[in-house]
Amino acid sequence: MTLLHEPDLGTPAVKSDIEVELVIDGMPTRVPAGTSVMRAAALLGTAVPKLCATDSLEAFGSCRLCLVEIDGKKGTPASCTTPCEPGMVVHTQTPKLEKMRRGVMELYISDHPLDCLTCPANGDCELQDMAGVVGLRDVRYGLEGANHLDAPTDDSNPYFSFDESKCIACSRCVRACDEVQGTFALTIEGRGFDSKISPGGTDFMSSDCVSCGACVQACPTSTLQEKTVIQIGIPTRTVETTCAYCGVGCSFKAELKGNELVRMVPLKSGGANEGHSCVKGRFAWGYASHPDRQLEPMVRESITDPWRKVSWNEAITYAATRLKDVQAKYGQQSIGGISSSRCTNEEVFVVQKMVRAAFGNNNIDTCARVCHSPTGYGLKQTFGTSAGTQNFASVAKADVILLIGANPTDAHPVFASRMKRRLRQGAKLIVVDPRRIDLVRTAHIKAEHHLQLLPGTNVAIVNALAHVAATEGLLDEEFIQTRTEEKAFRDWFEFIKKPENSPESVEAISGVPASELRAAARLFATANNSAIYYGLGVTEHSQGSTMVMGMANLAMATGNIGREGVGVNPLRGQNNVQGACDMGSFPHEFSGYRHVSDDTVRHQFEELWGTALQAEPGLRIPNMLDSAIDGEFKGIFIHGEDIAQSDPNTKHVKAALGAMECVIVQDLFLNETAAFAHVFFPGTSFLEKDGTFTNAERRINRVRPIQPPKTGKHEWEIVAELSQALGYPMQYGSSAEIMDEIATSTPTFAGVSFAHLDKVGSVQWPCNEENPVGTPTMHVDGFVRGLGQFMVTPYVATEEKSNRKFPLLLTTGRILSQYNVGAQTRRTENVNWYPEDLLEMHESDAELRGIVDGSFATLSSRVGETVMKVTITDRVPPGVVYSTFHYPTSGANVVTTDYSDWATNCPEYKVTAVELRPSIKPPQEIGMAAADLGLELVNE
Amino acid sequence: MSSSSDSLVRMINQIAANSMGAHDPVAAVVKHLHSFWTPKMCSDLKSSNLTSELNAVAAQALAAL
Repeated sequence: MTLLHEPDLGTPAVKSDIEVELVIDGMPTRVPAGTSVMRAAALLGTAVPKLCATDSLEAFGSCRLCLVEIDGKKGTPASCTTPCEPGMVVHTQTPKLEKMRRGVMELYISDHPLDCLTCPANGDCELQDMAGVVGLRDVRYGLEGANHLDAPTDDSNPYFSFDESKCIACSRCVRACDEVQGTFALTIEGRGFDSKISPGGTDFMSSDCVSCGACVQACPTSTLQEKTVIQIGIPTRTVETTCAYCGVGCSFKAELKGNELVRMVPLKSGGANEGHSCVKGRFAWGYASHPDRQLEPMVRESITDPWRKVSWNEAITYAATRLKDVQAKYGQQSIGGISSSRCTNEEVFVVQKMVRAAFGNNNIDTCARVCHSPTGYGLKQTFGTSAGTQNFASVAKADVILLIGANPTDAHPVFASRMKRRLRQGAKLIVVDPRRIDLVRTAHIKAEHHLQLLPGTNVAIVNALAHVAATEGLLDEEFIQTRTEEKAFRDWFEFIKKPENSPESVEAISGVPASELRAAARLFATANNSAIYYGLGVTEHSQGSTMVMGMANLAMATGNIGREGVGVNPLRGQNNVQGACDMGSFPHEFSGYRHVSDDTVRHQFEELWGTALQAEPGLRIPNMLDSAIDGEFKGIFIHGEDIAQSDPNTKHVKAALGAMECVIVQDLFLNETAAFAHVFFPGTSFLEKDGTFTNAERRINRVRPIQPPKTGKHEWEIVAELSQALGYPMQYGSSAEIMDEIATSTPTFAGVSFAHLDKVGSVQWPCNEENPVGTPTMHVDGFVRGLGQFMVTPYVATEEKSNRKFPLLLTTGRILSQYNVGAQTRRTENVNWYPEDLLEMHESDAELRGIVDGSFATLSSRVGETVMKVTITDRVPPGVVYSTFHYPTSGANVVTTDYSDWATNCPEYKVTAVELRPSIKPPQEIGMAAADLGLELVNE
Repeated sequence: MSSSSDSLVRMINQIAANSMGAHDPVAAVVKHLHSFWTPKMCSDLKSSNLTSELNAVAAQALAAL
């Protein structure tokens, strides 16, 4: 497609049941009451000249260009700030307005460089456009007067430039930072002629700016400009696609010149992000063309041999032969596969199909095992389906937000902006987190309650919240009676009333004052709409599944399910965690969460795939690893995952990988896991993929390629060819055909096809005959399972306990600029914000150990030790330390243990007993990263 | 003691400890094992010499398989 220009109607849409009639330039029209004259005119096709207005921001009325005349009204009001009134007669173009606008433009241009031909925004500049629209022919004031033409350029941000000389002080950037992003990093400094945009009196890089790009997008000139546009020029074509970072799944316009990506611009019509972005999706895509990227398949006999680059044919034949040899020697169950949440639904579907049909077993698992598998389990038990209940937009109707174990401003920043907007409007926030995340206190937001619990005590907390609701008469009796199973509720009610669940009892376990718990519970239970949002701080615990069920209990007990503004909402870590789970990546279920022992479903797949399938569950990742160490599991296909870095107890993972006879890794880079591989299949980046991702709100979005695969093959093609080489024919002409097969076999996807998505943009499953455009809110009239099921959720303390030897509790998380194990973001300019992993520690704990801010410390647990740089902070309470895990050199998972969720084996990353002591060695000197070792071998 | 057996003991004990709120904890553990464990995991645990390390509910569930 040519370059997509999304229409800008000047001011945001207004929702109103009342319509007003008016006449604009002789044309009658009807708009919702409250709509601006500018927007009404734009809807009629009349673009009133404007500079400070854009429809992603509230009207500001400063540029004086959008003036109109209205019969019976004095003066020339700004059309952006003037609401339509019944019977209004508006004139947008008169000799008087023409003259005034030209005069305004003269003033702007008298203080603007006249370098249009060499300006990076030439052809994409609203000031230039408006000069043309108003017919500017000369500037009577000349350019010799007082001006800002020598103002300096701030190039400190790696992705965009701030050329102050081109600024027209329209405030769009300031307002975008405030209204859209919610960071309030920019301001207007000075008054009158001295007014200038400032990132808080410093440069952009040193400021509070989070580099989301909203200001760049809002800027009508070249003042804030992407550096890639400055280097390459204005793009000429657009491909609409979906971000490959977090589970928000933002829609983007990939803007290109030929096949060269110039910039990624968030799509205004994107259902998940509605025109907003974060530093990762907007700017951190350079990894796709990073020199570390591997583009050719490679094989080697032993993991101590150098890699040998081979043809695709040889690599696939070699991989198939090794897998078949392993199965011949050790049995059908001796191999398996891991699918990836970073790959498309279509790629995931064929991987699990290959395992079930070609490997002949159910040993398929996915990286959701280590993040949101408890979400799947807990919500299936209580509601009947393994997914969040709302769309992201729902948060705009929440009155109370209960945020548990999630840090959206870092991990899900675009959703965080929606949440912050609602909080600024007055919604109340309850944060449950051992660490003081930004949302506890940030610009114009202060959490009503921060329940700063001890790591590992989530279930006790949620039970205490429900106890207060149950014992203080705050339950929604009608909802409980009509929407939930009576006996299950009675069992739960008897359980939750017990004194052991009271805030007073839980205070001793969690460290959270009972009075604070009671107040938070009352706030949640008495609001009109209370919504629960949660992250890995819920799931990555030994009681992750219990906690998910506990939250579902709380939501049902207070009637907060089945409408906008409420619900139980997992914030998924990776772009396609939801999709990977939907596609049948778990060893016990087919796509659509149907158990392999269900004869009807299994026979359906047997008929569709033309082969017998096993009726027993297969091995989960930790079971595969244990079995490998025991010498029984010998071969694995790892699709786009780096388990040697991301999974807990690195020593154990590496021992298991080292014990296997055939490890196949498919990835963009020679990651840590590839050091143990015998076959390496180069993968495709999201810019080359053709398929779909499903985000945390069940939204199925198209991923469209901007260029052919750099490796020569789509990943689904490689899987199909491997399957064929193993003896099971798998043939597709395109990824669209795979989606057709998914739709045929998976009831919740029955109405999905590429053609349908291209037509409607995106859909939230279930998408079927009943709901052809999807289902934004689930469980509206009834739960998927019929009646909701309360579950008794006793608190069981984790076995991982602190003691004299390991007196501190380590919890982990990620930071805004980096993503998971950093394979992508470490290969971008994002390293400027976070060049190494840091371990946060309270001053009192540091002093006790002689550890100073910025020094290195040895971090040891019961399973291993590593060295990390320490930062002293009061974000964490005494007794708790926190680290990120983005860099292989720091090896945060060297210390995390094998403890896991009782129901799903999701690792307990969030609770590890540790000790710290000063170290003089930085982590780089402890050992070379395996990936570096792999690269050396290639180069030999 | 194999890596798997050791893990299996820990897993089933943990499943049992977290199923105590169920109406019939033993039945809940059995259902869980049928749903999520491979037959070999169950038989490996049964034939291991670690069954003495199981808590009461876990032991009853394993016996009921």
